[in-house]
Amino acid sequence: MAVVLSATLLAACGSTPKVQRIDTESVTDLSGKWNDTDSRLVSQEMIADVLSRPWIEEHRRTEGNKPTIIVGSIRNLSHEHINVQTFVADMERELINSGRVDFVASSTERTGVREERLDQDLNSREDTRNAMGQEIGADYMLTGTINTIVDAEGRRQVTYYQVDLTLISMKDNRKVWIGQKKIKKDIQRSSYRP
Amino acid sequence: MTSSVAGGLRLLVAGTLMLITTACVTYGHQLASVDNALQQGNVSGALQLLDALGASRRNEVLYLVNKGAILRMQGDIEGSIAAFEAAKPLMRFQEATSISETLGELSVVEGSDAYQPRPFEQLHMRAMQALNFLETGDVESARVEALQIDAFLERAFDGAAPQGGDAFPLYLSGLIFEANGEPDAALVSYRKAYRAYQRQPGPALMPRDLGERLVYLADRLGLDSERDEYARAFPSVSLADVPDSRQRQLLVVVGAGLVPRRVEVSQVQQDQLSGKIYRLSLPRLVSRTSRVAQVTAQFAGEAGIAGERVSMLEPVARATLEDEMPGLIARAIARNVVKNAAANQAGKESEGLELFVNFVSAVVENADVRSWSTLPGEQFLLRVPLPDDVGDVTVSLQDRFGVPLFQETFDVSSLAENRTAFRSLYWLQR
Repeated sequence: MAVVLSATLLAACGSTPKVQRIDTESVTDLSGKWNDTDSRLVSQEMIADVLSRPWIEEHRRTEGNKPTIIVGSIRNLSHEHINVQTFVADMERELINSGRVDFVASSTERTGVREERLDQDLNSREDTRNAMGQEIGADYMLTGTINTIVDAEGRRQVTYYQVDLTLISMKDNRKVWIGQKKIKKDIQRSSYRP
Repeated sequence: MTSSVAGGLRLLVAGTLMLITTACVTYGHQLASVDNALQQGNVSGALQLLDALGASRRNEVLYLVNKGAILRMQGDIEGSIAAFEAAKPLMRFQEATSISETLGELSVVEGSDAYQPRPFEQLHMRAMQALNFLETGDVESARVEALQIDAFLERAFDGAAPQGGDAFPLYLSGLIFEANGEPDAALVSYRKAYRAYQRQPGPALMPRDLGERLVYLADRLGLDSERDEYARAFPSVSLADVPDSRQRQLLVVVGAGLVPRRVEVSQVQQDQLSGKIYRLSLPRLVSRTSRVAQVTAQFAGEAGIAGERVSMLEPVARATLEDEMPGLIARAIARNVVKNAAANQAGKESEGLELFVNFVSAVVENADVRSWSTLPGEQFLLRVPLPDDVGDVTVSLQDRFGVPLFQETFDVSSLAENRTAFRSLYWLQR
């Protein structure tokens, strides 16, 4: 009876994964690779920087309206598979919510919108249709890169990340803002394991 | 029991060991069924067999790389990507030395450690992953794999893998950088690939296409003396005939055959004085080359473009095993010493117990025949420059007599001008 009970308990102990919910803002570095903390650090710094620079006011003064931004190519040139969309999406949300900047759909996002608009042209009631040719053109394109430099010796590795973002004027190709965030990690792996 | 009776019993045991050990199959032995299915052209069957085998924690990496390769051959690129990505952190973790596994190998059985792919296997895994990304059109992620190949080489081997096992992965890295519009980075990778091919054992394999890329890029980047140096090394290459990498083109990588399989060779010896039996088991390689000798591409208006062999892993696998052999033999001797001591200790209790311990020790003395056995043994590369109006390209595989073995047609109608498309094809049968 004791054996059966013990076996049952052991099986129960071994079968259920242990899940602990943690704060999304908490720092959890497991492998040393790019993670959610890095993405959050980049977006926080970039948002603070882009909103504090004079390009917004200069645009308002010359154009008389809020600047409109489209997200272009953010290239991952690093050693890791990094999802750049996490911090780009954070930036979009904060900038739109600040009320000082507008975003328009990127080339990949608007494909579906245009297909729907074309469908409306054919199938929707005339007074409810959204006409083609009414899109707002972007004033600036956001582009960028993530680069890494890796230095490794034995079980120790130092990884340097540099995220560079640029706002380029669609009118005259001027670069009106450049943001940069650097992150450096010293990762030491054990030479032994169980 | 008299010593002569015990000696006779041991002889009998030694004779039956050959029969009994056929039942003592390790994970490495079991994978033979997966390979056999692949060589019969039954890729889905191979995957089912692999999943049915499952894997313990110490064979998890081997399971994942095999799964990644088979899924890729089946055309499930996303599944293959996931399998290879799951293998990477495990491989990184296993780079650390395990004390318990080391002790196990020295005292109990070879293969008690977690399987860590050999250098050429790790590099070719990253090359396969790069091809996965290229075939989904994600050149940027393929570029990440190229950088990871470089980082791994620097970290593990100061830049150059043993036996030139990095030759094709570096060559592929160059192709990726060229496709990504980075001729300078491409030239760096091609240079390294050139040196790696020179380091490879076995018959000389130096792709002409690599020579063309070296001459072309050195010229394009204004490195005239370097261009001339490569032109001398590849006298048949004419700069005027080298295709511009910025034009519309299809690159097809053909995987043929499988790498040599590791099988066990055992020898049982009896000590005439003590009557104890000792068993020494070591791996050896069995070739599994295919009949593919030529690959050609055809499309409307073009007679035929020939590809060339760019990777042969059999010489690398053999040289790798040769490098491992002293360690394998030393550990086998060490285990026999330890087990002999254990049998002696048991003999203080009873002669029967000593016989039993000696018998069991010999039975479990298996060779570790684990290897990434679903890795293609050879790879061919076809470079097909495409006029804008070409929509289909047919790739054919022939044996050395020109007898057709297989053909497949690729639809490239959506390939834009100035772009490079990558495709793969496998022929694993003999």
